[in-house]
Amino acid sequence: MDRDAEMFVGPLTPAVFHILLTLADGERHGYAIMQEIAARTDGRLVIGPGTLYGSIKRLLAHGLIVEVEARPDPVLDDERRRYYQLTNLGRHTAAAEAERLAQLVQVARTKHLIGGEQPFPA
Amino acid sequence: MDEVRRVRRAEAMYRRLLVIYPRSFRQDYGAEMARDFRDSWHAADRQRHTQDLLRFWWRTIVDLARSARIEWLDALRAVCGGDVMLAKRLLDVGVASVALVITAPVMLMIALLIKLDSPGPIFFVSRRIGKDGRPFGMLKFRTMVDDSLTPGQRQLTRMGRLLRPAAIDEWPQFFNVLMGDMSLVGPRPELPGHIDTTNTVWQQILSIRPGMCGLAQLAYGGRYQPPADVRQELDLRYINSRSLLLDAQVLVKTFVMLVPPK
Repeated sequence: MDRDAEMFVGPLTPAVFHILLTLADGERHGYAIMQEIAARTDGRLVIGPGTLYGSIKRLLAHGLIVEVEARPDPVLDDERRRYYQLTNLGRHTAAAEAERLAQLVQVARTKHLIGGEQPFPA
Repeated sequence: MDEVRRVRRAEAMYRRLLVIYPRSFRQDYGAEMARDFRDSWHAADRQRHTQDLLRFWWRTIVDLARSARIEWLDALRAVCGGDVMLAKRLLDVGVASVALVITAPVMLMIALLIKLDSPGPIFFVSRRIGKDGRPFGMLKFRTMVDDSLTPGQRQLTRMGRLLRPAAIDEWPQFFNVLMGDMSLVGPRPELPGHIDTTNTVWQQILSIRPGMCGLAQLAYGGRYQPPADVRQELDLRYINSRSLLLDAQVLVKTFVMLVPPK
């Protein structure tokens, strides 16, 4: 079987999930993705250019993101960077991952590892 | 040293580090990576703490090393067409190397005998069509009387009569396997004139490396070569059901067929 085809089924790496999350707001270029992830995690997850563009390459190859054809106004756009946006497949994949994580959190709650709403059957 | 000079030096160093990537990745993303590196370097440099800058470089190097390793594995997979193909290639190279080492003394002797038996070269290079329609020279021991010396005569040499029944004249193709033109098992490579590249069946057959032996050569107990359409069917069957196990089976059966117990 083609291993690549299975790559984005099942748990995503933190880097990939964060990239998809960042693009859920709209199109971004690589450096903006890096900065947003660092800001969102208070610098705990810093994705370097190598990891970033490697992930972008694979996300592109598997159709989870696409390069935006129309570039922003060249006056606003510094040095003609490449912008990326989510595809429907990418959106679904990110949603499925979020769902999976939410279920895990739910399990942690029922075992009183963390607080929050307790899911008791009605 | 002012900040502009420092960042230029840092970026130059970063660009040099990018050589650890496969070339295709460097070409696609190298420029953007260097630019992003420069921008994030500014942020680290502005803090003016040596400790921060050191941590920044350390993170950069870890990032490059990790991701370069992944890109190389990716590139390797792309070249070999998946893990199965990589395993097949390793089997090919392994078996061909061992076979060459074992048969080397015999092959040297054969080479000498061919030279003594009749005038002409030791090897006969047959132009065949390989993977993706790429032509290559398939090596054989020469078994015919040299055509350039006696035009029009298609005549087996004495050595030819000896070598052909056991297909020993095909042994030099272990070199073709090592060079990557051929595989141990696969469809036999055809002569250029026999191939129609617009035909989808041929396109499928040409999508993999041709082999030294295949299903078609085992048909009818190897007593005679099946007609072209049967050969194609068997080649397609091989392509659709190929696996390392099937390769091993074909190798063993071919070996048994060629070395009859006396």
